[in-house]
Amino acid sequence: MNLQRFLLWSLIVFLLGLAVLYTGANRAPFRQSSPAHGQHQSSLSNGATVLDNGKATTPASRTDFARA
Amino acid sequence: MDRYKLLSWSAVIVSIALLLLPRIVPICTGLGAGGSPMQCHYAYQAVFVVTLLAVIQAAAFLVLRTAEARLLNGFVLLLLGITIIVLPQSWAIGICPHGGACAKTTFFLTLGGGLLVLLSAATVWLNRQTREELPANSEIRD
Repeated sequence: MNLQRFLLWSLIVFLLGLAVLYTGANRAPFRQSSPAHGQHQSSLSNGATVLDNGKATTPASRTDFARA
Repeated sequence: MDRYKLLSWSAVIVSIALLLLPRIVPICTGLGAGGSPMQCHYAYQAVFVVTLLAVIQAAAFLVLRTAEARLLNGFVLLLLGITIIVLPQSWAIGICPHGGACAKTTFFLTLGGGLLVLLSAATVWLNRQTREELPANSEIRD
């Protein structure tokens, strides 16, 4: 391989590397929720209906009830 | 296989291994306050670009024909190896202060970077001994 062809291939490899960097394929994907950085809240608890003594209540109204 | 070729192929393999290191030994993947990435992320993004240049420099060893060009290439690769080691240090970009996964990746990165520095220094040494001097009257004229 002569130097001119090598330079062309190097440029292609470099640009491909930058594309990989842009897409984030060079690293492990981020964790969306981290227990270390804030209280973990399950997505199931949001808007879920809780049965309390046979009466259907939402978690928010349940908290209000506990406060009262 | 002569010593120069062995060193060249070793430098190519080490630099490709360094390029793939964050996939093999990942840094911490958590997000910092406000959902933004932590400094280890930025350090390893910078390391990736420098390592990409190191791969090209190492591959150039296999193409270059004159001892002087190989000498210069080896010297630049040596500087890139030092940069790879320096970037995750706290006085450069740094990694997470709590250590953990980032510290493990940095350990292997420092090891690989040190190896790359040694390999390029050996190449510089090999070509220093066989340096070709240009004749005194062979100046490049405009």
